[in-house]
Amino acid sequence: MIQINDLSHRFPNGNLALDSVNLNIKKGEFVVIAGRNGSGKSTLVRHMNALLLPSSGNVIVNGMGSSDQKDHWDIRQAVSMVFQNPDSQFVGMTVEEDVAFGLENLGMASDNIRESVDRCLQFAGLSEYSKTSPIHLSGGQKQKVAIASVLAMYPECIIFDEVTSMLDHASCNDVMDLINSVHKAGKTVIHVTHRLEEATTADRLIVMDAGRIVLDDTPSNIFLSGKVSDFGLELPPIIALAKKFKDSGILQGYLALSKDELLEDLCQLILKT
Amino acid sequence: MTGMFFSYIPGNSLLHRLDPRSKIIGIMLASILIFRAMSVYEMLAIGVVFSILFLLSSTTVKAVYSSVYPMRIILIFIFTIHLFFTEGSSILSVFGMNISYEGLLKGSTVTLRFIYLLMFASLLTSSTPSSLITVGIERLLRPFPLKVLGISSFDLAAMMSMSLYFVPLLHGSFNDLKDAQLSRGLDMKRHPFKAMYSLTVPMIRVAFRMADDLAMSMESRCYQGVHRTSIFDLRFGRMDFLCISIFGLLSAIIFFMPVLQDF
Repeated sequence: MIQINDLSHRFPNGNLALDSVNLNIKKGEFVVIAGRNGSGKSTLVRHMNALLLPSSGNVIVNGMGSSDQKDHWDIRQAVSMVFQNPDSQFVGMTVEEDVAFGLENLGMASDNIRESVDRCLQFAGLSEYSKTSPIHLSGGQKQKVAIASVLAMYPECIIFDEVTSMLDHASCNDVMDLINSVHKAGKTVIHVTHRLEEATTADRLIVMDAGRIVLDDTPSNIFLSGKVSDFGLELPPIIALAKKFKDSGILQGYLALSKDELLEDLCQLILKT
Repeated sequence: MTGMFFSYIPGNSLLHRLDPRSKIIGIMLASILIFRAMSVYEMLAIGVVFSILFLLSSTTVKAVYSSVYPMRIILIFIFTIHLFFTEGSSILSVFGMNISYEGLLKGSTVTLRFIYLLMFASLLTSSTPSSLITVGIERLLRPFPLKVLGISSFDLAAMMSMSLYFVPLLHGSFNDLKDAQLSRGLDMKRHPFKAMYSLTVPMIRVAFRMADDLAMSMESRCYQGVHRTSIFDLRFGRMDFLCISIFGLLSAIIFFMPVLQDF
């Protein structure tokens, strides 16, 4: 669905944000892009939405090159993006108006807009807030509105650019549940984060450092390799514990990626012994 | 909600049910009448029209009062300027300045005009959500060739809508910034100019960053400033035609009242 060939991006101040990046994302994949601050994650995903254009190389979305400005509208319809700070992406004075914004830009009729808005708000569990101003919502609810706003445009792929970084633990879990539901509904999901526990449900984990892709594999393979610490990232405590058990030979088989999986593995071990 | 400046009061009155375009046209007609009104009779007639609309709106007196009261300083200023600086037959002298009968009359008329304007505007805002007012203005402006000026009615509507959303957001950011600077030892009373600099410069930076993020978010949601539709389906119904006709007739009567009086 998204093909990136030898992509480099240099900012006007001379900083090289992306250095010869090659990437291929398939339809329906759930990809997590992780890396320390300034590693080029956000710059990379902004190229997938044609918000930034390559200094060299090319980005092809559904066969359309981002260098051709006449394709930008179609690219943005196919690949939508949810940003880090929900407050600075609201346009409507109420939740339903904000969700409707993208559909209004697509020129949809009022009845169809209303129908889509209601459906997306229901999907995000926000129906009761449709007439509320986004200002009066909690951080997690605001981010859910932002997700509902891009879902309403029926994109094939949604990019979540550090959407959980400003949220507390509970809201973060709520938003992650919603992201997982979006993926289960058949959308291609690209989630940018520096919290590796959010990568456990992904099909693929990409780690970036200094504008380059340094690791690209399944989350469990990358966690097992123990290389993430070389790039300023930390394994979540549960996974680090499971890895320790596995490295010392106490546990065998797949690496447990969640608390429940680890407990199950330990229970089975106790029952065996 | 009722205590807020120009806030919307949910309801199902006749005024609530009217198309926002009818109400905007009505306000425009009322504004022309208000600024043309000279005599006491014309002022009274406008007062009667307002009272009828007020009864049809299910708006509260408190809501109208809340819309006028915050402007009291400006209203007093307008009245005082006219009271002291209009030439005419003196009726009183205060601090060596003459108050004329003409000044009193002119001050009262001009101040009443502004009060009427605020009252009519409060009828519009209390019976119409701000988003519908924005859509109404956009639809009314759509036939005009704004492209000549390099803008579109959609751009104007988007700007209005975003301004309404961003004012409280910027206010919140300003308060956060003020708290941050105070916690770092800023003394606003002893060093007011330094305080102004310490608050204004970062605030401008915050505003630009927010505007930049918003522009990116709008672009990513396919905003182009060209033809857009709306979630609100505006329908100019029979009741709208009837109300506009009645209001137009009343306006014409008040407009031509001086001619009728002469006749």
